[in-house]
Amino acid sequence: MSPAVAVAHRPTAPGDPGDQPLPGIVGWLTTTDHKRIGILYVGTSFAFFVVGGLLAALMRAELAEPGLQFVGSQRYNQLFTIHGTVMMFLFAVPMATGLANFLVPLHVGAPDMAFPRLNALSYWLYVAGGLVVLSGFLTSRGAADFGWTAYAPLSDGTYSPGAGGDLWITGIALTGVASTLTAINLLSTVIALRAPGMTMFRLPIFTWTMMVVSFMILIAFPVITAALFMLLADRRLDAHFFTPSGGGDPILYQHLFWFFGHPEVYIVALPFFGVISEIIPVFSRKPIFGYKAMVIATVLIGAYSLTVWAHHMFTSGAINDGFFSGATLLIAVPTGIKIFSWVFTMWGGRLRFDTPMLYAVGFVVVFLIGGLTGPMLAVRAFDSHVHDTYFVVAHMHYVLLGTAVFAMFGALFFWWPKLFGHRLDEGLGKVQFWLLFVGSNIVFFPQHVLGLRGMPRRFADYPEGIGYETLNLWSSLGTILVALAVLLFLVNIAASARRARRGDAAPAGDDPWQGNTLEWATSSPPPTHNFHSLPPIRSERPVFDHRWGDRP
Amino acid sequence: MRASILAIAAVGAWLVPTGILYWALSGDHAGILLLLLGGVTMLGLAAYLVGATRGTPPGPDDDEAAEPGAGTVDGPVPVLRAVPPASAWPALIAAGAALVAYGLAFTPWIWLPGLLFLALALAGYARETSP
Repeated sequence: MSPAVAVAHRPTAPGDPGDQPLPGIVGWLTTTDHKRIGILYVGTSFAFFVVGGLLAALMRAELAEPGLQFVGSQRYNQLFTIHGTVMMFLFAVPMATGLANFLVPLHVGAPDMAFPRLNALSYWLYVAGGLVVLSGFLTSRGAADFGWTAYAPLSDGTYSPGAGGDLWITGIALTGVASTLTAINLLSTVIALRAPGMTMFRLPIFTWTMMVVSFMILIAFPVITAALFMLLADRRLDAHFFTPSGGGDPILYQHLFWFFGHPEVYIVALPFFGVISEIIPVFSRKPIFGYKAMVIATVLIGAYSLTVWAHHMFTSGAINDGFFSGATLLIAVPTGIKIFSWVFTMWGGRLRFDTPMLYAVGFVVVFLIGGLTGPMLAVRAFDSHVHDTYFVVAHMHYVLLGTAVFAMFGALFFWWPKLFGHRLDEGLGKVQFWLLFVGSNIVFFPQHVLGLRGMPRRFADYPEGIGYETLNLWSSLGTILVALAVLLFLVNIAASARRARRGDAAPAGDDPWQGNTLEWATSSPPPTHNFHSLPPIRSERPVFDHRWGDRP
Repeated sequence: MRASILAIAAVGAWLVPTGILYWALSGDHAGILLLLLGGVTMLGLAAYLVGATRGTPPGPDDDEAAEPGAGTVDGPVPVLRAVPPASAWPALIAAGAALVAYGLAFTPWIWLPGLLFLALALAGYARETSP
């Protein structure tokens, strides 16, 4: 670290003019403070999560019984396209980015991100991209309707005319640029702005996961951005990159998309693995089991995930099955290391089941169910049988719900005191957890069976009398519980904030959970420059060390 | 080698041989190129960082025994402003980019002024002036 950077760690006095953010909404719109930008990311991505959830609820309402009741086939196509797009591009990745924005500088003991204005630019590009995508619903032909993968030639101008598709492409390209800029920022922060004593093998696991995810973004996102512009050129300029009639190659699009698309699954999952790796040790009163193994597993998952993309293309018949089956099965090993580590961290610990821990345990269960069907789908013969059926829908929702949704709620309950200075209501949180846990299993478990029975995904209707009705009805009814869980969370936010404003609730304090990492060494919420002083950093649990000193 | 550089190099070192293996097993030029370029990019980045840090002693962030104040400079040295002043330029750049995006979907009459707006916002951002 250069001395110029090192002086950034010098404590600054409260009341320093540079410490005061601009007041009101202007302050939020023009902020370059990583904590405010993190909160903006979290709030915006949660809003997109609600939008994506409403689209899913509409789809489940349509599928509750055979026949078309609420939306036609065309509108249904738009619903599943934008649902997938919102959840992958506008909710899951930005939610992780928001948490990283808030936490990574605190975790490494830095006063801010390496490039604060670039950080603000990333956020605003993400917002712009999201709004551009959603505004497709306002166009005459409606939003994009070719699925979140936008396979060519379905997504070209002949089969998917209308501005909705173009808005989807340009909007996603903007969010891709935003993610790339964030990756550069996070990497620079971790490499260059760590506090004295914060060696790489003392970084919190969450920060390690964000560092690995940043590498993955730098490799994968430019590829999808290029592919999107090629697709746009096909649509608007008759370029024929992917249209067979003009000599193009639609399989090339699939390669480019999935070279981004499969790492994207881990770009979503790894930060939430990191979240769980922060929560479980705190509520088990133990250090994480096998810290270095967890770090190595994180790097291995990142590296392997870049080499498995074409297992999504088994049925194209245009890939080397053995290579991608083997690589996909291999990735289960470091993922298994993580699950064992979480379980052994809890094993023999003094467990406390506060709401964050409930979500962490729920995450392990839900993710494990989704994870077990992953190796099944890595086998070409099985994948051919269930490709594009509800089995795949169930698999990916267990994986992504477990990671992005359960871990997100765990993270929000865990770090809410640090973000806002007060805790969320524990009672409401626990009720919400059980609603979500039971509801999501009712929604998605029957979809495994539907898939094995051959029900294809992406259809608004299904025939009667072939065993689809009851399971679809259950799946749709479960949606009500999930919606109630999300509603209860919003009620919890409002009620907790109101109690805190009235002074009915005790302040959270700087370290309400007796945490391990540096964010718990500063006030809640932290001052603009994060720390007035730092404790000595002697392990990956500096705050724990500082709290207990030399006591055994 | 510092752990951060090692992690970058490890990803590159995994991708290059995997790309060569994939080359031997597959005729998919896109995949071969993506794997090899990804690997070479990571190895290049690691090599740059090795070169940039060669000969410099580990900083206090790489020193396990460093005290909290290590590496800081006391006295009349200006404190690096970690949080720069608030800026509207990032939001304005995004607004310009959105205009260009809408223009690409609809008409040059939107993206042409959008491009101008974007260029002005980028200039403002680069010059760090207050709008």
